[in-house]
This record gives sequence, C-alpha cells and structure tokens, in this order.
Amino acid sequence: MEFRLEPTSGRTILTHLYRRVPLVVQQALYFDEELPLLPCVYILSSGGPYVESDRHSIRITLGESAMAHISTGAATQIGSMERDVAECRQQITLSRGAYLEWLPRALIPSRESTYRCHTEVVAHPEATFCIGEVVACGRLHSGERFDYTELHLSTTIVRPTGQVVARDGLRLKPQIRHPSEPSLLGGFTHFGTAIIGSTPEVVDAIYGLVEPISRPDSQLSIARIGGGWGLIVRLLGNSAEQIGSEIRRLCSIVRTQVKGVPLPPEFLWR
Amino acid sequence: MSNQAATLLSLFRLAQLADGTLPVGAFSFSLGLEAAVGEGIVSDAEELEEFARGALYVAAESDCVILTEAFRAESCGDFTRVDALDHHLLTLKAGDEVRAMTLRMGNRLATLLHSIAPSPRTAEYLLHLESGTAVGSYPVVQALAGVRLGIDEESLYAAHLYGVANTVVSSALRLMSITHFETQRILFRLGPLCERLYTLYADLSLDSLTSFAPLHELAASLHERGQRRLFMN
Repeated sequence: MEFRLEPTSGRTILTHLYRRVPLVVQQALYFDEELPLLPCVYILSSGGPYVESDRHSIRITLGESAMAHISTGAATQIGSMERDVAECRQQITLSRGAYLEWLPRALIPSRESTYRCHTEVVAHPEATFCIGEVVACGRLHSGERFDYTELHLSTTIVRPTGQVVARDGLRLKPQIRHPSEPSLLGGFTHFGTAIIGSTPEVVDAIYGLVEPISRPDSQLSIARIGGGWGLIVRLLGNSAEQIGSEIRRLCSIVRTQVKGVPLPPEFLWR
Repeated sequence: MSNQAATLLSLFRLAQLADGTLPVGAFSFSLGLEAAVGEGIVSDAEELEEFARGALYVAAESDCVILTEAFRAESCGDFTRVDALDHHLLTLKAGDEVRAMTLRMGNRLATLLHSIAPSPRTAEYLLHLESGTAVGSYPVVQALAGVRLGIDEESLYAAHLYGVANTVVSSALRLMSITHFETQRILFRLGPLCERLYTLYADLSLDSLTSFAPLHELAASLHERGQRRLFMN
C-alpha cells in the first residue's frame, strides 16, 4: 500500500493511493474539531489478522507542510503460525514542515506467532512526527501471556540525505528470555513506545513537559535521541487503553507545541 | 615468542584492560543504579543482582555485538567499517548521559591506548576522532585496543561484560548498604551468563540490535532529572 497527502488551499488531502488486498485506506475524514483541516485517515486490513507468510508494505508520504492523523480501525492481531513468519515494512516520508500523528491501535501477538516490523521514517529536519505503538502480551481473553514466539520491532529515523540519526529496536523471544523479567516488563502486561521527531527547540520544550513515572501501575521513561532532534518515550502498563491514552497525552503535548492546539478527547467508541 | 609467553602476555594485557582502575572514568558512572536506588527500585542484594543481570543483557544485545563486529573488522584492516560501527552504535543510544558515557570512556581509552601502545593505527584513529570520521564509542575503541594488545575476541567480550557488571556493583558499594563480599558473590554468580550471552547474541545482525530495556531506561531517565548526583549516570 502507498498513499500520499499534500496540502491544497490549506487543507491536506489524499493525492495518491495504491493498495492491494487485504489493506484498505478509508476516506480521509475531517472530524478533528481542534484542527478542522487535518485529514484523519484509517488503515484497515480486510483479511483479519496477520497470518503466516504475510509480507506487508506500507508507504506513506506527506508533502511539504502537509499534516495528517493516521491510525488503524482496530487492533492489529498476529495469528498463530507453524512454519513461517509475518513481516511488515513501513516507510514514512515527511517533507519540510510536514506534521504527522501515527497512532495505530494495539498490536496483539497470538500464541506461537512471529512478527517482524521495520519502520523507516525519512524526515526532513523541519518536519514533526509522533509515532506511537501499543503492544499487548497476547489475547488476554484466551489466557495468553507472552506465548508468542518472537516479536521484532525496529524503527530508523533517516534524513532525506540518507544519514541515519536514530534507531530503536526490540526483539522479544519469550522462550529464551521471558518479558516478565524484572529488567524488561516486570509485572506489567502491556508496553508502548512513542517516538517523536522535531526541531531541537520543540524537542527541548516537550522534554521539559514530560516527567518520568515510576509507579506500581505505570512506568514512563523519556530520553533524547538523534543528537537532540527527537525523543523516545517508553511506557509500561496493564491495558492497551492505559498505554494508548498515555500516548495520546504525549501526542497532545507535541501538537500543542507545533500547532498550538491539543488533541481532542478520544471518542467513546474508540 | 613462545605460545606460552604469548598466552601469558595476552592474559596480562586483558587484566590491565578490564581493571576497574583503568583511567577511562568508569568509576564515575553507575549505569542508572544511582536513580534506581534513590527511587527504591533497587534496595537489596537480590534486586542489585537483577539490575546487574539486566545491564548485562542490555550490553549483550547492543554494545557487545558492535564490539565483536568491530573486533573482526579491525582484525582484517577494514577501518572504514570500524568507523561505520562507531556511528551505528551512537544512533542506538538514547539519553544524554548514556551517550556521554560511551563517548567519554571511548575517547579516553583511545588516548590512553595511544599513550601506552602507540602505533600508526592508534594515531590514525585519533585523527578520525578529531575529524569526526569516528566518534569513539567505548565498545569500538575496546575492539581496537583488543586487537592492538593481542587479546582474543571471546576474552575481550568477557572483559566488556565484566566491566558492565563491575561498574554496577562498584557503584552499589557507594550507594546502598551492601558489603564487598556480597558484591563479589554477585559477580561470581553472573559469570556463567557470559557464555550464554555470547552464544545467543554475539553474531546478531546489526538490524537486530535492541535498545529495549524498560527498567534501565527508566533509571537513566530518572537520573537525568534527579537531584542526587554522585555519579554521571
């Protein structure tokens, strides 16, 4: 799948779309009351969960000064597998002055699944983005707790020149090292990562507004990456809603710094 | 030089490189333990051992992979790759103090190495540092030192992990109520983990390096905001 968003007469619109089954891009909607010109785009998978041997490719481009809020219509489930793995490669290209909120719903890796996803963010130094990801320990209603085989998520932030400015990676293999070890998730069942990129002035301002949290029911760490051009926030909690809500709070801080308005409250049905 | 003489010399050099008093500044870092103790996350010997064990995994899944890759590149004279690995590791480091630690220790080791065992290669590396071609991350300079001093890859790997564990337990002596005997018992118990980590992670591809270490990331994050400052991280 690939699509491109560009500003036209102040409003950012979808100008290019190519997709193949099972990925679907819904019509860009303009329901954000704080930013009425912001397109809210939802990506769906009509085939249900990722299954063995799936190889998805998602390319999103925001033109100069374009802005967008992109999410998924539902949680991304990774189905059980016997022989092969499921993979996804995402490339997000942000031109000068572009602004992106990429907040997909939770990732739920099922029993005996292997999922690898690499995200490359090609960002102009004057672009701003907030990419959040929420990861569950499995299908809780089925009693799953870290029963997947492997989860490998990585992100690289690259300049248009090709220079890599920051990387983040995690590779969890519960059968080799259980995620419930004290130095990993401890007693928490869910985790999240938010990666923020912007100019050093904006990054410094956000860094000053977000305090680390160390409580029995939640944990948050924040650190500068990319020589001061970005931030990584790691979150631990016990539900997708809890982590998702915290990521929205962070994204709201980012939006307020860059666009001057916060994120509206989440819809009750989301 | 006989094989026996070479082995003895190599072991002597290894002991020198792994010594906690090596003047690269390791004693001024706690790898986040200072904040972890301050927040009550680590309060006894058992929790300290878990913290140190976690620190070894963090090192094994990032720094040690770069260390072995850099050792192999340095051994076959691929200095361009050594410099690339130097930059690669830095892009994975989150947090001002974490980056400062690897750069400060690496740059000091590069200067020290050129002082005690000067060679055209150590001089060249210092020039790369000045020009920005290299950044001087600690694992990469350790690899350079290992090759220069005739230390084998596995021994150097163990020395790096020992340095990590020793940094944690040594700082614990100044931060919490614990005896030298207890910290030595912890080091002894962690020893066998070295072989497991080498087997599991030493040959990871660079795409598989991980920076996911919530407890240590939290400790580093708290330390950057904290008031209590015996250590630089």
